[in-house]
Amino acid sequence: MRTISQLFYETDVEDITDEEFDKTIIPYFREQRAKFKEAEARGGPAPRQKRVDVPKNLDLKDLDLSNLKL
Amino acid sequence: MTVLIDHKPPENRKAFLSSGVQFAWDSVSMGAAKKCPRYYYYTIYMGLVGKEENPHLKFGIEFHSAQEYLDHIRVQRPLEDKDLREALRLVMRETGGRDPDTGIFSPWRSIHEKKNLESLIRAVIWYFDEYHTDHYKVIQLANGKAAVELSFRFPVGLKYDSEQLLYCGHLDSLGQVADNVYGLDRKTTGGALTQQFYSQFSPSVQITGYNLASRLVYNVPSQGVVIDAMQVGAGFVRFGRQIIANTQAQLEEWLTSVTYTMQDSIRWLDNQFWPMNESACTMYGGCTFQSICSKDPGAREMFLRAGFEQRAWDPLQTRGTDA
Repeated sequence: MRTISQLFYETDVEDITDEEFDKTIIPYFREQRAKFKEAEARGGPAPRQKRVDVPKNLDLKDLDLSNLKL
Repeated sequence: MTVLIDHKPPENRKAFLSSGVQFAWDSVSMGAAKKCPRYYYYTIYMGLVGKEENPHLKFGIEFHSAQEYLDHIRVQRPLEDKDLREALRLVMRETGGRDPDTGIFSPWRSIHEKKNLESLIRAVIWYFDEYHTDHYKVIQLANGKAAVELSFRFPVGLKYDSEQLLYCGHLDSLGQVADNVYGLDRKTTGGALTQQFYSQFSPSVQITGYNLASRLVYNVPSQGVVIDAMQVGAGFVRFGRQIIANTQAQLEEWLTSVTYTMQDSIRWLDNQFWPMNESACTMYGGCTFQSICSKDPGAREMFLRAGFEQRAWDPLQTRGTDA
């Protein structure tokens, strides 16, 4: 199954399956909410949440080699 | 006569008479006029908006869109996860863009720390879970429709050239808590949900207008408006609600006040001069046009053309259920 990063930033929304919503996206955020509510109940600060990574798919054709000196 | 801007107002302005008088108002245009006549002139009369995307506006609009979708289901049956799934698909679809030539979809990529696709999805899911069992129940109107996304307009008792001046708006919903009926308006903010946050809604052009509309237009004994607030943080969302009530005298005072502002706007138009309210320049994080107004009048046109584009603001546009 695709990662949440791929689903957010690399997938056409019309191609995201029901299963991917139900088993990847929704549980990801529900787990965050559970941790947040635990921290609030303890009176602590909101837990730091790692941002969903924008995929770094570096393609050679994206590189600017115009100033490359060999 | 002082010419403020060389180009003309947008052509498709439905809320304006041919004379240039605005006859249909809403909280955005009324708020602009009360803030500063010059700000009103730029944003409403000339319809200027910044060329850069506003992530706060986009976030708010799309969150409302998801809730409107879910509200229509809520009134018929309890929500299920399949409904949440479709609401998420809706916001991902609406926030992204599809290239008209290639058909390739691009998701929303916002660099804003708090208002981005991830925080929007989080807000929709967390709100769904927070209010899954909600004490606030949407009511049915006399016409049998669910009282969600309610567009309204009513005359304010003033005419210009035989045309009634109107006040328009859209209320998120009307509902019941215990035995009392309230309007509901959803708000998103990056700041904490303190008493200071809620105090901005009284007095308030928008909220008092909603209170009046729910009694006048929908003929329900509304006790006030529930501010359904959401603090959007970098990795969390907090929720809170508070009721804003207004007395009959406050509602009448609001009505008198808006007619004064409408008459002021006609005077600015007649004089072809919209004065600046310099006291408002630095409020609420600073006015969008402060950098324009701080320049010599002869230089402003160039900067306006570079930084802004035109669109016609339309208070008459209805959404959802009409009154």
